[in-house]
Amino acid sequence: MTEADLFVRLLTSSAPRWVAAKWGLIAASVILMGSGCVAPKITADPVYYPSAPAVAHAVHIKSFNRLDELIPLRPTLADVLRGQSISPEVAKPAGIAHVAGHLYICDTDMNAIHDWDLATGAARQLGTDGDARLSKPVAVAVDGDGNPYVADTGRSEVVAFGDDGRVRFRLRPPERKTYRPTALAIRGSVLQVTDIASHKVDAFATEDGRHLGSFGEVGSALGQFYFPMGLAADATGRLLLSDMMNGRVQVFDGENHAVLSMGQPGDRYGDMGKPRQLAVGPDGVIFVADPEFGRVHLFDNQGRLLMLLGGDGEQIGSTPMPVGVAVATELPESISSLVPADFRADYYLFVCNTVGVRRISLFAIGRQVGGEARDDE
Amino acid sequence: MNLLIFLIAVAGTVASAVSGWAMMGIEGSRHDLSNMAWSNGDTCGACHSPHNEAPPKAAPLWNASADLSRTFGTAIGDPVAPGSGTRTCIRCHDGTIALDTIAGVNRDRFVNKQHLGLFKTGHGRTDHPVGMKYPQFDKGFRPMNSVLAQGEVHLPDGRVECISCHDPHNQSGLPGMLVMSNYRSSLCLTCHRK
Repeated sequence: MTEADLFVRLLTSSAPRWVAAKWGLIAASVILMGSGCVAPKITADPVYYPSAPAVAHAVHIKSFNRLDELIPLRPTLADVLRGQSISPEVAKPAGIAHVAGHLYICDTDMNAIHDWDLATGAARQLGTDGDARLSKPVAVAVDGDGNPYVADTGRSEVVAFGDDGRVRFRLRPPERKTYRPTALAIRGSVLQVTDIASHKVDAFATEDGRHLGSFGEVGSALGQFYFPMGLAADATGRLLLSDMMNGRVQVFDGENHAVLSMGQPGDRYGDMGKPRQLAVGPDGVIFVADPEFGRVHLFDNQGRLLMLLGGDGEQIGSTPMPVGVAVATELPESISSLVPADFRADYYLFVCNTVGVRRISLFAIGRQVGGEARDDE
Repeated sequence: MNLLIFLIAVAGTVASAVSGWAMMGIEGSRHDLSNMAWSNGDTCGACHSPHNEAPPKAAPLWNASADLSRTFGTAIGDPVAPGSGTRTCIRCHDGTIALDTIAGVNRDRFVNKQHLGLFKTGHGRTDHPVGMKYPQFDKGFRPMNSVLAQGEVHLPDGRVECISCHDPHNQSGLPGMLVMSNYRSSLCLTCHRK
């Protein structure tokens, strides 16, 4: 029997009217709350990047703060009667990662990590209790075994969680007086962490948290950096580093030698304002969140500017002050079905915004298909 | 004994004035990030990107016909709250580099009512919303013209922003980089009618 059937049956039953009314109200509440949890469909025209007449390579799918704004959720009757929150909500997102169907979001207002299973709707929070309590989680990375690592500028350390949510160990370079980790990347069994207190990148073993070494020095020459605020590893083993105060992204090879630099401080296409977190698509496209430009820069793996994504403002498809980016190669059908029919999605991009009413934006990355031939490549 | 207290007070006042004078301006302040050898003494670059007059090296590959003359980011007159007088600050003051001053979207105290859930700041023991229009027709606030005539508090585009009360260039040398002294809440009372 569905909730609607229950409602009708109670109203037409021979039970005393006040009993029927009482249970009818409960049933109506369940129906209303349940229907309210269904993810709303897009009602406005999709926003493409770049806009016509150029061929679009990205399209905005959804912006959200709550899980039920992204996927349909139906609470159980027990949840409703207990008055439990029907959907987890992000208050202030910073770092973000998507691994094995889970979306991990750093929340620097609730000081916790949201872990959302986008396929089932199951959700939990990491770092809310005891020695796991987080103070200012700004970046998250997850290894191949599902173990999350969280850079916490408030605790001045990286907290390594197990997949059960318990703390495995804490990471901090030995004999470093001040430590302010801001970005993470995993290369095989090595966790790379930026430190904006010493302007270095440290390496730790994911197995036991052992400090393996560090590289980098402050400066503006190739290989030097000032306020490294983003890290990402590409499929070839290169390490990409967001060099915020130098307004550029540098690429390091497996031996930590700088081999490429893209961007410079400025306000032209190809220049950067204050580049923050990075992500790399399966096709090698590099995504750079830049809150000063209010956009995400897209570069190819040779450092050539492809396009800019998003923009300031509250309009659909905007990315006001983006700081975090994460690539998802696959999403559940309930989300992927929102991609417009004239767009072939190769993968997806999550963007965390500093301001705005909806602070996480989701884009499909790929190529617009059909229509007039207006390829500008 | 009274003379001793008087002398200590005078010495404290003089020391405070001297140290305040010495710290006046951005150089040597906490916003001065130019003390690295690499920077060639550049003080401005930490917050302000240079405007490059030269054309970019190449047009975006996926958008070759894009308008390359458009401006980005903190354009003056940005109609969306918060404005550049706040956004420039929170690029660093978001808890990663410097003190966190940004609110979450679900707070219910001091939320910016004009842009619900958009923005507020919280630092020290107080919260104050930013990014909203100055409530000049609210009887709890002084007329905007009188606030501006005083010349200390800034209301860019008629909005309350970080730079309304704080001077990131530290011209006053006051604690907290305030635009004016808050002795006996004089800064607060510039706007608030209490």
